[in-house]
Amino acid sequence: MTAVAVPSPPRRQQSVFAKRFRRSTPGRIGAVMVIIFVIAAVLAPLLRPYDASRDINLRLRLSPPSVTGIWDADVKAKYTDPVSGKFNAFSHIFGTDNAGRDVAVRVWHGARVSLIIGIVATAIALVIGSVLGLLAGYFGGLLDSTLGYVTDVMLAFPSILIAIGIASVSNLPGLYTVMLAVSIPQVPLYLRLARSVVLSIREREFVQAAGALGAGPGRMLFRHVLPNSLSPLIVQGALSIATATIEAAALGFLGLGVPPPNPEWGTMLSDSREYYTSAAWTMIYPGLAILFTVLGFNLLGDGLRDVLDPRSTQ
Amino acid sequence: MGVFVLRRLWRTLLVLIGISVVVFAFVRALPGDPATAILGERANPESVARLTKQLGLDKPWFLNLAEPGRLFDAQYPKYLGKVLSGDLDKGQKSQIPVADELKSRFPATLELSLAAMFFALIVGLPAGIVAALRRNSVWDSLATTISLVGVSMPVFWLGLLLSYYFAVVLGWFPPSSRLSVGVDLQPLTGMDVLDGLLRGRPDVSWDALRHLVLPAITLGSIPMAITARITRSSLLEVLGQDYVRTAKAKGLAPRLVTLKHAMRNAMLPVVTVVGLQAGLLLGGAVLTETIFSWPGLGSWLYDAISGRDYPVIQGGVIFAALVVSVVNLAVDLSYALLDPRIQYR
Repeated sequence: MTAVAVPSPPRRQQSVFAKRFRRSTPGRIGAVMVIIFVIAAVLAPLLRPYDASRDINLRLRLSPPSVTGIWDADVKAKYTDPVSGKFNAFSHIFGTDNAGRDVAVRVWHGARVSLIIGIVATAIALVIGSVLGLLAGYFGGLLDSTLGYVTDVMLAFPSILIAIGIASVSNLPGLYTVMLAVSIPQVPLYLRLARSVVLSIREREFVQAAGALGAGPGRMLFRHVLPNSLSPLIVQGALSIATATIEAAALGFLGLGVPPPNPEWGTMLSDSREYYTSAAWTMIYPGLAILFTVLGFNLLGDGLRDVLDPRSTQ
Repeated sequence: MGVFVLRRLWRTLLVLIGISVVVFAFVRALPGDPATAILGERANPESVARLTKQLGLDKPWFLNLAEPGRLFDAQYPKYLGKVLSGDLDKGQKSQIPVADELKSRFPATLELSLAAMFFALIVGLPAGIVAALRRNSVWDSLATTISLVGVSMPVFWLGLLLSYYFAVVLGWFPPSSRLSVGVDLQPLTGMDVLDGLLRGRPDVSWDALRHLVLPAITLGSIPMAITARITRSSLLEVLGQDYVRTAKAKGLAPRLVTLKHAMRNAMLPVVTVVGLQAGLLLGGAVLTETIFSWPGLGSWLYDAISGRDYPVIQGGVIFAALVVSVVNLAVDLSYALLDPRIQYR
């Protein structure tokens, strides 16, 4: 008979990871939060296309969340349509900002901007950093000491200063500048991580065996060393998206972020500084969105660490 | 030990030189011309050229390769020579010497950072200890949650929330600046709370303290979370070791075992991590000081970068990097004092 069911080893291994991940409470919570965030970000342009130029309603400037109209007569009067006389408690659930724009829609679309920045910035840092780290760890010598020196210099600056610096020098379009400004300060992290992992893997028997069989440096590095040093890099990647989200929002808050027509959480917070004392909702919801996203990726990172590095107790 | 200290010092010096080169090149890569920035957009080209020459900005950046006889007649060697003699130039807008402004700005940031670290330790340490001693209890979950939220909290949002609730709604604390309007204090150390006490003006100290609370909590939130986390995991690890079990088995009071046997060893990683927060604090200071109009290094550097003030950026960033490097050096060396097992080679 040809139908022979052979249980394949990779599948069994995956289920071990899945089992361990399911046992990790932070990992589970984080995964759910990240999934919600990603779905929101992906669906935003499909379910509710956003056009900043048309999203202005001066009659409803700085109105509190419309839900409060259920018990607050003033708010209800403000949200009641002058023509039809109808009141919809869910029309602007997070209230509106100084141009009468719906805070909820802007927060929702901010997720998209944030997701793009987080993923691209982390990918740039991860690729540049781990390739340099691999090379430094594998070849050592002058390359290693030069890169080590550059890393030392970069780590002596607070990362937000590097980001501000890049944002003020770069003449790329806004979104790309933010991605670059957020990712460059993270490169040294990956460089150090990849280097230290390579140093320990390089001495393992299977790598030496590959060398004895005549594998060249390229094959050794990318076929044998890299796949075995991936797990700490993946954990760091999840944590990096969290950092990138905060740093991108911080740049927006300092007025160096994604340019205005795009709804961005940090820029929304920065705008709200002029009127949050009387319209707190313009400040609370974008901040909650940042906290939710960052918390989600941090928890996911912790969960992945539980799975991929069972020895760590943290 | 002596050789180790020397090697560490040499490395720190190299890093500082690297930083000065990077900052120097970066400042010159900023778009916009400082001479035009000072004289305004409508200044005539001749006076712009004259000011450029006067500021020495017409010279090559690093080395004068065109005239090998005067190789060091360039901007960077000149600047380095001045820095080594303690002259950091004047701010281009304010015309105040950068070194003088550093003297008044640094204590403000130092005061804020110390207060933030104080908050971080007074909340983070007990939280971490309780979480470790009562593992898997409600207290543990509470401490773990607080530290997770603390790490994930955007500093600038926390600052806005605190100032909204405690300054605007409740009115308990002032929303910004270091002292109330009309309160006058001759600086001594530059740290207002301390100066008030030293000058015999406890009322001024109290006023300064009230201004300090919200920014310090804002800036201290992340270090607090990190301290709690590392304290918990470090103490848990030590409590699981054989010698702790032995100490318990021979009948020592549990409190004594925890405080004397476990804590001392558990504190090592905590000291490292707390020490390494110095760089993070400076970064957080940029945001915190902007929110609370705190006249320290962070808000000054931010203004300088947006205003293209070359001397201020150069002097300020190099100084900040110097502080971070020195603190890191001190942390490295302090291991030897805390842990006699460590041998330096």
